[in-house]
Amino acid sequence: MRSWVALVKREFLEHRGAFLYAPAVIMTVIIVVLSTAILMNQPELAADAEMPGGVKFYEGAYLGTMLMWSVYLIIALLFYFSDAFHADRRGNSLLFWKSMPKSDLEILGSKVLAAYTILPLAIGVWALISGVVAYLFSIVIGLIVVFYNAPNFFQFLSSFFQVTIAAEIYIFMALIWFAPFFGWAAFLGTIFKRWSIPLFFVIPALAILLERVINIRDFDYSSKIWEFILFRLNFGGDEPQDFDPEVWIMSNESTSAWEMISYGLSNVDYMHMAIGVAILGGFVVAASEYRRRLIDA
Amino acid sequence: MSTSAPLVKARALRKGFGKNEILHGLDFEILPGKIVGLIGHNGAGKTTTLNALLGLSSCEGEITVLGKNPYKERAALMNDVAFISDVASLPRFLRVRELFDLLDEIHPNFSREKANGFLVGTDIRANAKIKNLSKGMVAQLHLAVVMAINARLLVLDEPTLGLDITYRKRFYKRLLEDYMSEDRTLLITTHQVDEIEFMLSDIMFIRDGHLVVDSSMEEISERYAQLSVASGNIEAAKALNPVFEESKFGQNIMIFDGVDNDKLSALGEVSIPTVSDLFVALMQRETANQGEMI
Repeated sequence: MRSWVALVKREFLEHRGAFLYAPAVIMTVIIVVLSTAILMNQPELAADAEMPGGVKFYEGAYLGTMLMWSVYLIIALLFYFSDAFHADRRGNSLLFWKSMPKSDLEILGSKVLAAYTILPLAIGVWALISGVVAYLFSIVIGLIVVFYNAPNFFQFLSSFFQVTIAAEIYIFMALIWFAPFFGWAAFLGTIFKRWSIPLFFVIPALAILLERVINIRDFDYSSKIWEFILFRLNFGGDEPQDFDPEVWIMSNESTSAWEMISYGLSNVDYMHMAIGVAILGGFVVAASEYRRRLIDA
Repeated sequence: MSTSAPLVKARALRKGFGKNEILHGLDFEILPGKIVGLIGHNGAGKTTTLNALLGLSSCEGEITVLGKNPYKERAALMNDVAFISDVASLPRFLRVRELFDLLDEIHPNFSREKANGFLVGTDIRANAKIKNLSKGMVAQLHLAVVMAINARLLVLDEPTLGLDITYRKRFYKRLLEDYMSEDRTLLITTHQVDEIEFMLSDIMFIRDGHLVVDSSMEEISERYAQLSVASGNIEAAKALNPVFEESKFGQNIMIFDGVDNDKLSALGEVSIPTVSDLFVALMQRETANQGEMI
C-alpha cells in the first residue's frame, strides 16, 4: 500500500505542471479578468429585473466553473495518459524503474490510479477555490448591483456543499465513462510516445474511412466505429425530461446534491460503463506487456 | 572452490535480434560471495548477457538467478538484485530528497542512511533537482542509491563511465570496503579493466557471443604466464606455442596457456599477465574489420 501511495505521489510530482501550476495560472487569469470586468461596471447587466435569485446566481456561477474545470481535467488527463505511459523512457530512466521491485503492470497501474485519484483531486481543489472565489465575487456584485442580493454565509455554505458533492461525483463518473479514450491514449503513448496525440485521432479516422470504403457497394455510409465513438462521448445520455432549467434557476433555495446527482446520472448506461473500464484495463495490460519488452528509450 | 549453490546459473543461453544471433549458447555459473568481471569488446554480448540475467529481455536456454526465472519474475527478483545498466538514468524530474522518499517506500531493502553515507564528500544536496546535476554527479547519486540497497547480487554495467579518476578510485574502494561481504555477489563489466582487477575473484571473457574464459583469478594466474623473452630464445619460446606475442619497447613479450613455469623461466623473465594483457591476447577477432573500405 505504501509503495502504491509513493508511486501515485511521484506521478503527481512529475505532472504537477498540468495539475497544479497551470490551474493556478488559469485561476489567476480568471480572477484578474473578472475583477477588471467588475471595476469597469460590467455587472450592470445583472441589474435586470429577471435576474435569478442570489443563491441560484451563485450556484450557476459555481457550476459554470465546475464545468470549465471538468473540461480542463478531461483534456489534461488525455494528455497525461498519452505522456505518462512513456514518460519513464525519458533520460533512459526506464532502466532505473526496471531495477525497482515493481512489475511493469504495477507501474502502469499506479499511473491509472493517479489519474483517478490525486490528479482529479488536485483539479477538484482548484474547483473548490473557484467556488469560494465565485462567492466573493457574488458579494462584490451584490454591493454594486441594485436588484441582486448575494447569498448569506449559510446559504453559501449549503450551496457550496451541495454543488461540490454533486459535481465531484458527476465528474468522477464521467471520468470512468471516458475510460476507453484514456486507455486508447495510454496505449498509443506507450508505443508511439509524443506522436500518440495525433494518432489518437488519425487511427480511428482511418478506420472509419476504411469501414465506409468497404461498405460503399451497399450504399451504406454509416460507420459502427463512429457511432460507438459518439455513444461513448455522450455521458449521461439525453437530458432528463422532468428537469426545467428555467424553473431551477429562478428558485431561491439551495439545490439538493441528491437531486443534481439523480438528474445527472439517471440515464447512465452502467453496463457500458463497466465495459469501458474493462477496455481501459485491456489497454493497460497490453501496454505493460509492450513495456516489459522495452529496455532502452 | 566454494560448494555453495550457484546464485546465477545459465545453460545454453542464446539471444538473437532478427537473424543476427548475439549469444551463442553460453554456459556459466556465479557463486555467492564472488566478484566477477565480465569483460569483452564492444558488441561482444556483455550487456545482452546482463539483460537476460536481469530479466530485461527474454532469451532461449535456461537462466536462473537466485532460483528465479528473471524474465518471468523480474519484479520479485529486484528485491534481492540491484543493478545499474546505465549510469545517469535516474528520473530527472525529482529532487534528491524526493528520490530517497520514493525509494524508502517502494524498495524494501533501500537504506536512506547508507545512501546518505555514500554521498558524503560529493557536491550533491538534498534539494538539488536531478536534472540540474552534472552527468558525473547523477552517476555518483545513482551509485550511492544502488549501493544503499541491501541486495544479494549487484550488477554494474560500466558503472564509472564519465566519472573522473578520483571518484572512480574512491568508488571501487568503498564498494569493496563498505559494500561487499560474504553474502553479496558482484558482477561487473567495464572497459577500464585495470581499475577493477585488484578486486576481482573471477573473470569471464566474452568474445562474439562465446565465453572464451570463465575462471577464478587464481586459476588464471596458474594457467597463464607472460614471458619477456631473452634475446636468442625467441625461436625456443615460439616452439612452446604462445597464444599471443608482441614486440613492446624492443622486447618480445609472449603469453602462454598451460605451459610449465620452469620451462618458461629458462627462456626469460616470467610474470603473471594482467587482465588487460590477457584480454588483448585472447580476444583477437577474425570477424573484425580488416580494412574494408566503407
